[in-house]
Amino acid sequence: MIKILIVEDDEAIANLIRINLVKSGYQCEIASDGEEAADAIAERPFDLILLDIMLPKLNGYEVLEYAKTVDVPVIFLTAMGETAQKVKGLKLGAEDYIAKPFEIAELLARVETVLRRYHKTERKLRILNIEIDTDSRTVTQDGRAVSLTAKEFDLLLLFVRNKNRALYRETIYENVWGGEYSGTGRTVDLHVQRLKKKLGLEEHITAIYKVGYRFAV
Amino acid sequence: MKLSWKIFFITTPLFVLFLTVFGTWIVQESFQSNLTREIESCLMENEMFQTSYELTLNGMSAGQRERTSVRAMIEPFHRAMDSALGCARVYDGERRVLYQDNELTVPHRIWEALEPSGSKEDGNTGENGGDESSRIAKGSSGDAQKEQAAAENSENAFSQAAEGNFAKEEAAAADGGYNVGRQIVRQDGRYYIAVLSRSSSGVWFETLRNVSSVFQDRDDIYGSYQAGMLLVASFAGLFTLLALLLVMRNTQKLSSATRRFAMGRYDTRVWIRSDDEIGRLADDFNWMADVMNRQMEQLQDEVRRQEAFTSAFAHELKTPLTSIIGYAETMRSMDLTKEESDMCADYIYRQGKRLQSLSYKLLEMAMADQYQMVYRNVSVKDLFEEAERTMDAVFREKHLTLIAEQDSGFILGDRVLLSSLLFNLLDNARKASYDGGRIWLTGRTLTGGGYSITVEDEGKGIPPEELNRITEAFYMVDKSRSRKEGGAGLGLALCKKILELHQGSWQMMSEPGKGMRVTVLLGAPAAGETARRKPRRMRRRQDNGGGAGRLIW
Repeated sequence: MIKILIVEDDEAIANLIRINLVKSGYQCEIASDGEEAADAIAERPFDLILLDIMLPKLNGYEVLEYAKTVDVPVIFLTAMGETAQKVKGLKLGAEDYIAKPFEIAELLARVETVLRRYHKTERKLRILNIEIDTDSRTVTQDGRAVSLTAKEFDLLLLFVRNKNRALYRETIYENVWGGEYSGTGRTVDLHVQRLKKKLGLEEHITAIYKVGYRFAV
Repeated sequence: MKLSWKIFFITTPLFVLFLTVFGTWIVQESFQSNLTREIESCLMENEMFQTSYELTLNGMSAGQRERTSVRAMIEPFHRAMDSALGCARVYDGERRVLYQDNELTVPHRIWEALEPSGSKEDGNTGENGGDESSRIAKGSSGDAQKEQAAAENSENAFSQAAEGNFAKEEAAAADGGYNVGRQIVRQDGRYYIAVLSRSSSGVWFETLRNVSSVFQDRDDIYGSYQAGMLLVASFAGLFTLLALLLVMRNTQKLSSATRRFAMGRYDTRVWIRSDDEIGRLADDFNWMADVMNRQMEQLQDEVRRQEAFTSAFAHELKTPLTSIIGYAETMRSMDLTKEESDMCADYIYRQGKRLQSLSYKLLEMAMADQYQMVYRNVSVKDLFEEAERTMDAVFREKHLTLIAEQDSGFILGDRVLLSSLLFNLLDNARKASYDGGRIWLTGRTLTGGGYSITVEDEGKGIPPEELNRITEAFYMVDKSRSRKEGGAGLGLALCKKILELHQGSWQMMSEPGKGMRVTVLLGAPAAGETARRKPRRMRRRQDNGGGAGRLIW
């Protein structure tokens, strides 16, 4: 199981991240200041660290330096949205950053991406009778290859990673297509329909009225 | 062109011109006095010559006169006179030569000056000496003519003028009816003074003297004067140029410093050790640079504070927003257990409250800027009682004991703002205190007028190096802790503003781990109510940055 250390001095935010990561199947630990974080890093192995910059005692950059010595990927959280801070964090060796306020789906996607880059996630996801190879981007159902377009593949991946979560149309759009969701247009619905048909997921992917879709397993 | 070269090219020719005029004048003066002396002695010689002749002639009988030739008559006394005289000649009435000691003749026009018929024409001669002499020269030998022409061309203006002068004098002498005339004549490169006189017997006596040496001396002196002058002038010019370059080097220093300053190197200063204007200019430059640096630092400080405020504000705003949005999203996208959804709702509520308190505090700060203060004498007793009532609940929660004590008295100020001040100070003490701690609230009348309020706790305290930052908006010594206590980091910033409005001051003392003491000094109540009617003016006075509200650490 993948272990993630959340370093965040604001209890509410730390808890929020923890709840969502646990729901997505990660194991989490919270450190509320720099020293606590450094101790945790020294004592236990982690696969990923989510790190706030403005911390009591030791600031985020110092913890980042320390985390690099044990070769743990770090995503830092920043409230400022200031370019200088982001650049500094990335230069110091952080894998990615998330600007507060962030959306949960974005957080999960970035965590997933970094973990995959470090080959800490399983290459092959299995769900129901479907097997997804994230490296070769191929999908097989009951041993038969199913051909999906790039967008359909991304959509499937999003549903699988957020199983049992209601996915809003805007969330889907922003994660698969990127950019701002205009609120009109049937792009999302069209792709979801086709995906359901190709994989025979009519029962599992259900529309939620006025909201979006949910992949229930 | 550089200024030093400009000055050099203006002053040097002027200097040379002045020297030339002055030198020429001096040389000319001395030359003329020499010449006059020569002329005087020539006239004397001629007179002596004539007198000797007359005497000899008078000493002879008529027969003797017939027998003796003029030569025989003159020779003896002419020899007897020092014949350094050079050249003497005697003519009869028709200008036939009766006697001459050598062949030297020079063309002169004294005849014309002395003959009554020629006197008018001689007046012209005087005015136009050069032309006349050449006209007369035509009558004499071709050799002389050439010389004359050459003289006219080559002779410098001064000597021509000199000759002209003498011609004038000569004319004047003729007009006066004298029988003596003289002229300076140039021939074969030599100068002669010719004197012609007519004796009562109708015989003309002409004497010549070579005065080339006088002219030669003048030319020599003038020549060496010119050489000396050129030497002096070039030394002076060189010296001037050097001095100017030295001075200008300082201005160059100054200008390069100015350029560096303009390019953004604001630490540039000029070092010119001099009391002159340029030295003073350099001092002024340095002074200006210092003042500008100070002002720039102030502006940068201001900007830094602004940036710090903005980023702190963004942080304070985004943190609760992140939680609210995140929990709300969690609730709407996931099936949560009752407990989980309760927890999410609780977070949303608490973070919402935090945002609310932040916005209230900001509003209060903005209000304090716009607030129409109502000044009246506020009873300290009432103020303290109100504060105790307000804080009672929260203090009890943390098992804190408030020990309040005050001298009865009044403070001139706005009741609402003073309450807010007290509340904020007590709330800070509460946040810093440990469970079950004590907090003192003490009011004292000051001997010099005014009132002091002290809030003291035995809580965590603040490190001394943080003391001067805690009044910055959003500054929190211990962020996570003060957030847990529900602080937004604006309390002391608000207190500072209230104190400024009341023209008060404060002192803060703290020792980490031992507690903190804040003493607020407020003005005494005024006798009249005048202040109440003019709150706006009082505010303006603080805006102008008077000593009011200055922090005393």
